[in-house]
Amino acid sequence: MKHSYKVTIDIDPSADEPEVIIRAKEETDLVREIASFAKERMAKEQTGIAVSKDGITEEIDISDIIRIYREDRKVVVIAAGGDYQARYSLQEFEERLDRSRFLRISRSEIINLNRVSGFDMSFRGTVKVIFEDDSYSWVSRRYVNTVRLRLAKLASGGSIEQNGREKS
Amino acid sequence: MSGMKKSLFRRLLLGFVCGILIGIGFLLISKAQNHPMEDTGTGEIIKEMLFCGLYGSACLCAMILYKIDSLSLVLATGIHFLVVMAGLFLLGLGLGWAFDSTFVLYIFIAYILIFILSWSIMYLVGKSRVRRMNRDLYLWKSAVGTAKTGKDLT
Repeated sequence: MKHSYKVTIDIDPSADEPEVIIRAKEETDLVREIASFAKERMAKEQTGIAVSKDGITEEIDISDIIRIYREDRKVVVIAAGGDYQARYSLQEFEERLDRSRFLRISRSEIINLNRVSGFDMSFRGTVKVIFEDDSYSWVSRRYVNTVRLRLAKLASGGSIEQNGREKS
Repeated sequence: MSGMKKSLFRRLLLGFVCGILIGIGFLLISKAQNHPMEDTGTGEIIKEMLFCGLYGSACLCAMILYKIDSLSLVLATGIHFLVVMAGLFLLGLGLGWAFDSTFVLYIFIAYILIFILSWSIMYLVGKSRVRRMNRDLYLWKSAVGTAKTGKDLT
């Protein structure tokens, strides 16, 4: 059975950022693959992210982000230039950021692997993640296995799809 | 069924089976040593196995505490220890064991040693895994060209 597809590009000067809309009769594997590819591609393209500090909005380089965490209903971005607040939720950050660099270590924290200098094991049995600026955080016990397997996959040359699935 | 409930149900079943198997093991050892207390009927043996199964379930289910992030590992271990000890005493009461201070002390010391040994093994396994994580991090960073020397490979 032959399928026909349409690809339409709608140039709108008033659009803030590119938006990909997939219109289909039902959510098939192809639809999911296209969505995943679009997310992955856009995540790699994104070099900056809007944050605010002392009420002033600015854009920071994604590569400068050390970690992002949720505290008291606020999302805090710790970057090389200081601490900022973000309007995105952690979930939105996970979708926007390159999953091969940004890794969730707990329900309320995402880290930039490029900014991690190492991991350590405390005697209490918790895994500490140490950043290049000597700050540190803790990997939630629930996420230790995920972090471990993700690192193994990345080290072996595998890549991570934007929906979190691993590509061999 | 949520992940936690599934895990709890699996532990309940596995613990029950392990408890029974350990109970059978002790029973066979006692019979081999011709222990007078083991000269009991089928009904008593079934009751013993049931209690052993329930104890196994309780011990294994209590381990779910370690998966609760809001509970520190020390507190989770403490509660697990209390559950295991309390369960053992309930098991003993159910089976008509004679508790004296020496028996209680031996049991207490034995369980402390078991917990220390388990904790040590888990710690060493964890340390080995963290070493591997550091190695993988360094390998990945080398591949993407962001690795630095020294600190990246702890």
